[in-house]
Amino acid sequence: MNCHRIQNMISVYIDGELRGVEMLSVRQHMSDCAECKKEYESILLVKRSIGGLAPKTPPSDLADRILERLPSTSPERGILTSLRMYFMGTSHPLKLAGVGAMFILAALIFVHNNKPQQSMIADRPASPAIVNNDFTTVSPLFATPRKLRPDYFTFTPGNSFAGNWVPIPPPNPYPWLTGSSK
Amino acid sequence: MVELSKTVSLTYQNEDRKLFDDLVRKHHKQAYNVAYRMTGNNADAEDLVQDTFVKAYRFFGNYRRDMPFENWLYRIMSNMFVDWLRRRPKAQIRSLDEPVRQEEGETTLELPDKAEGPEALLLSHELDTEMQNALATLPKDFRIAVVLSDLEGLSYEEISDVMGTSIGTVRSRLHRGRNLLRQRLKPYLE
Repeated sequence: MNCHRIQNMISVYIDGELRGVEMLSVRQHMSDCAECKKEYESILLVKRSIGGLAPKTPPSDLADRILERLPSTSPERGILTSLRMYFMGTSHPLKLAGVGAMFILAALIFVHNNKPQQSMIADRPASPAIVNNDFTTVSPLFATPRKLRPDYFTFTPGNSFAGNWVPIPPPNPYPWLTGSSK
Repeated sequence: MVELSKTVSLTYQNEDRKLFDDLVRKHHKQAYNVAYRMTGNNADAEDLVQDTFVKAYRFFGNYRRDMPFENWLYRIMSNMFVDWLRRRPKAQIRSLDEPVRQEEGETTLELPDKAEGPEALLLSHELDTEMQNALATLPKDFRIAVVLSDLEGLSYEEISDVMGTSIGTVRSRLHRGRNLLRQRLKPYLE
């Protein structure tokens, strides 16, 4: 890396925010390059000078004056914060009751949403594969077990010595969609 | 049931008030120090700290408890500081290159030349004043980033959270801010 790129990263290096290869390359470069090393030292001095400034002490009554200025009404809580505080605080019988009630409510909603609805079943167009509306009884055509080794080619007489091997088209899995029953 | 929920709500509100009072007492000195370095003088720093805490109290309901309180406070403070600068465009920001009007005509601000070494200056009162002057010449975003990083020791991620910018922007602001400070403080730090 060139000096310009290294010098752009010196602040980040000083702050300990460089990782891995970048950090090592800056370190390596500075051990060889006096100019970048000087740049590093001067930026470090600026940082330390700010960090070394004595803290400014506020007037002793500042906290009281702030508290006086606070409105007498309590801060309003947002709904999310209220919920968060509710669950993060110490346990209390009321909270436990609340959690229990929410759990029961969630369970009821779940059961309600997963109940099969007769109207939806009746509205759905039935496929010939399905004999009953309960989706469990399948016609014998579809219940036939598959062959383990299906025939993919069939032999037809032809001119060649070995005859003609013609591929058999795969069975149409959705005959009711295309209108053909084969 | 209504009475019960009212009581529970009031209890929480009283808890909030008590918690906030403790937070004011715990953090006001640190907040004042940061405000002073941003504004550059006692009167404005006091105003900024007071306004910040009053606003923080109003929005205490939105404070996410998993964020350090002082970081949340700095977020409010830096927004208020930016507003404050906007409202007062002729605030105490002066560039060292900018001409200063005097009775005899125009001149420029000059930093006095000090013969002492940087180590002696680090703890000196003069450096404090000069550093404060130099900070005041920085663009506001650079100043906030530098104060939060070098004075308060916040990480880049925390500063990006406080200032609502990307980490790349924080990197760039710190890099440029420190370079400007070095330039301004050259007579002292060389």
